[in-house]
Amino acid sequence: MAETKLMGQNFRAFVGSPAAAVSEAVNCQVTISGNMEDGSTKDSTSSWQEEQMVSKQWSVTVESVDATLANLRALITQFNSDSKVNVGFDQAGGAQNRVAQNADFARSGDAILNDLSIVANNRSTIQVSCQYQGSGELS
Amino acid sequence: MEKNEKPKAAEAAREPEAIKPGVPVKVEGTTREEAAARVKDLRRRAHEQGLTEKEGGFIHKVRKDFRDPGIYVAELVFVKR
Repeated sequence: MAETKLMGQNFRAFVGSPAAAVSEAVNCQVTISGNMEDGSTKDSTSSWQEEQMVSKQWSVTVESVDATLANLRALITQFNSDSKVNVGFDQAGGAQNRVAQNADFARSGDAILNDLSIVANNRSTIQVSCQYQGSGELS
Repeated sequence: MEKNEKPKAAEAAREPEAIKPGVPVKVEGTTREEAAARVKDLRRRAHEQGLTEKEGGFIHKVRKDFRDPGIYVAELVFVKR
């Protein structure tokens, strides 16, 4: 039997310490990427590049419709302070899909809020988008 | 007499305390798997007490600085069903 696919609503970003699921989140995106460099030398006899990983980076982006005054104030304060917060992702379930399930893929790390956008269109829900850039290992 | 009392005290110390609704409970582990096992055990105990998890339970790594190997910590809040 095919393994059950994880749906988007059951994959959530958790922010803060103690880490809580981002309230009223509608989308989240986790990006993990590595920077490569050609490691070939004069000893390399072929013409093919010999790529090697020189650094790695990760980030978590969350879009939420939780545009309460308290939440916006907290986010702007967080952005201004450049402080590190704990950010991670996990399978979520339970009441309101807010309970972490400790899935095998769950990871977390320290991150800094480096991108905050608030989109407020006339007669529509305010959408808040935050990008947390990892500072240190995602473990 | 004293000899008999000591093992009893040790046993009482091992007996896990009842989980209070609304009060955050912290669990720690040296690895993510160890912390996950403790979270699982705590959830089982809470379920036996008729409690349900409100939110959270996310395991995150806490490090003092980049040299610190760190520990894995989760904080759980249970409420009455």
